[in-house]
Amino acid sequence: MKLTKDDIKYLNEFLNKELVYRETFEELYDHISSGLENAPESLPFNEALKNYVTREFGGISGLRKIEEQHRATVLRAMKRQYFNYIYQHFRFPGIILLVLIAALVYTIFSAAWFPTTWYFPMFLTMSIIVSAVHYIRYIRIGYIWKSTKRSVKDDGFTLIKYAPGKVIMFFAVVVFVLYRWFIKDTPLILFDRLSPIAETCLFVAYALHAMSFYKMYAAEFKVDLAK
Amino acid sequence: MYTCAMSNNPLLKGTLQTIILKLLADHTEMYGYEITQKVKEVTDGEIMITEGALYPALHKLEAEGLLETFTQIVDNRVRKYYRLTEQGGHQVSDKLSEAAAYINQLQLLLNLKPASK
Repeated sequence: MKLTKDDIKYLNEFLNKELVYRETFEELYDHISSGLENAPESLPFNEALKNYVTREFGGISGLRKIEEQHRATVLRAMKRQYFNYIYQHFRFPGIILLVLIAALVYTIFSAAWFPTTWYFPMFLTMSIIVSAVHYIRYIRIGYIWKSTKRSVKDDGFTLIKYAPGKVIMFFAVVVFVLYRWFIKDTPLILFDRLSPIAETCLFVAYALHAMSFYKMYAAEFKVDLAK
Repeated sequence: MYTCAMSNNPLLKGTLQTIILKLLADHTEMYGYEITQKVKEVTDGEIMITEGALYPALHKLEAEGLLETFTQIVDNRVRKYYRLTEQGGHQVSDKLSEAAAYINQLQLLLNLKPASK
C-alpha cells in the first residue's frame, strides 16, 4: 500500500493522540508506516491501520503498554546512572573532592563570623544552579514549549531534579510533626538549631546531588555527539 | 504448519534477547520492523515476534548497554536503528552457548534425542 499525504497525516495525528513520548512516537510511527507500506491495498487506510494495530500490537492498549514499559526502563536506567555518579564520589579519586568540599563547608559553617541566615541562600543558590542546568538542557536539545513532544528523558531529569526536595520535605514534615507532638513547640527556625556537622552533611549531600545531576546532563550530550 | 507468536510462548520469550543479539551480530544494524520481518523470513513464518514483546526487549537491552541506537531519516520519517555495543558483542557467544546448552538439556529431559557431548 502506498501511503498518501492524507494517510501520513492521519497516522501522525492518530499516534500523536495516543502516545505521549517522542521516542515511542517516532519508533512506532516508522514501524506502522513500514508495516502498512508492505500490506496489500485492499482496505481504506483507516481500516487497514486499525487492523494492523490490533493484529500486531494488540490494539491501542498494546501501544500504550509498550510506551509505559519504555518509560519504566529508561527511568530505571537513569536512576541507576544517577546513583552510580553519587557512588563515584565515595570512591577514589572522587572521595578526595568530597572530603575537601566537606572540610571547607564545615569550616565556613562553624566559623564565628558565619551568619546562620546565609545558610538558606546558599542552598537556594545551589538549587538555582541545578534548575539552570535543567533548562539549559531543554535549550540545547531544541525543546520548544508546548510544541516539542516530550522525551522520556525529560521526565527522568525532572524526577531526579526534584528528588532531594521531596526527601527534605518528607523529613521536614516528620520533624515538624514530632516537635508538635512531643515537645509541644513549633520548629519555625528549625535549621538554626542544627549543629554545623548536620548542616555540613545536608549541604554536602545536596552538592553531591548537584554534581551528579550535572554529570548526567553532560553525559547525555557526550553520548549524542558520539553518535 | 505450526505458527508461534513470541508474546504467548514462554519458551520463546526466554530466548528473545538471544535472537535479537544474534540477528544484530549477523546484520550489524537493524530497525524494529526489520527484525520482525527477518525472524518471519528465516523461520518461514513459523515464529513471529510480536511488537509488544520486541520493543520492551530492545529497550531493555539498550538500557543494559548491550545495544546502542542511532537514527536516520528514511522516507521523511525518523528510523531508529539498533546495533551491538562492544559489551553486547561479547554477550552474543555467551547467550548462544546458554541457549544451546538449554536446548540440549531439554532434548535429554524430553527424550527427543540423546544429548550431544
